[in-house]
Amino acid sequence: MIAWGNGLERNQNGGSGLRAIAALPALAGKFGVAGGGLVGGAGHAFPKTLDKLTRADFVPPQTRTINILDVGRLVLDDNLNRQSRPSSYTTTTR
Amino acid sequence: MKQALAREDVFVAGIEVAMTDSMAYADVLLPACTHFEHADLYPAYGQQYLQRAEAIIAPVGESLPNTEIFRRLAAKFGLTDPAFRASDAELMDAALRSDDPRMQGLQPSRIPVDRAIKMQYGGAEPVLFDNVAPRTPSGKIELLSQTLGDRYGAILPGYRPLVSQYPLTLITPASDKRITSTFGASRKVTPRRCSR
Repeated sequence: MIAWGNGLERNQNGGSGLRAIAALPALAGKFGVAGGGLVGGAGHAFPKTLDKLTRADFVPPQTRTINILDVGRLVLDDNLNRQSRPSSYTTTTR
Repeated sequence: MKQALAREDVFVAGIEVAMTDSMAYADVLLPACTHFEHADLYPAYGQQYLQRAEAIIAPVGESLPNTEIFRRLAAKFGLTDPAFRASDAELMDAALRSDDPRMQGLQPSRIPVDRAIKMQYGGAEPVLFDNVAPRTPSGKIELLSQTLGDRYGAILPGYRPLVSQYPLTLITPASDKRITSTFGASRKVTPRRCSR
């Protein structure tokens, strides 16, 4: 049984690391086997209605969203307000 | 981050339950109460039980639940949508679909505090490939993902070397003295504290 916890995804290569870990029980045939598999986040186990809580419909279109990891660097960027397109790490979710 | 927060032309509003190094840079600091001081729903990180808890004590000092802070800010900002006036119970009932079979007919805000509701699928525990499947386009485990390839250029897991002008990497490891970083600044749990 693998439990990967939280935090690995917050590093460079973190996503790839998680994919590599998740591949281990897959390659070993341990998914769906009692005592085997992967304990990830259980967030999807619950009938959440994130749209009702986050109210993305309140966010004006084209609102700039920035990756939390880049906040420090971008706040120090005097040209931030003039950036015409997102930086490479900027996430635009809508 | 320190330089960014210290900028004179950057307005920093903070909401925290305890004083932290970051909050020392806040222009306005709003004290939030801890989870002991407000009711809440507890869907778990690592297991599948849903619980509800009531406040154990009233908010200490001038602290308030985040939800109340947001309601008051919204009123000050003149935001009139009913969503900004929703009570905590109404927010709980909006946060989970009470008509979903997993809720066993329970209204989220009325889950008895002495019960833990196990999330089930069709009356059974979710088991991968038994009654649940990966949400990949193929419905299978995708070691090679065309979706991630198209979206991020990462068909397979890869490795990009960290390029840095500095020889050391700063990490913030977990402490064996506590389970969260909330009270990390307290000398009781972190006797030796790095100074800014």
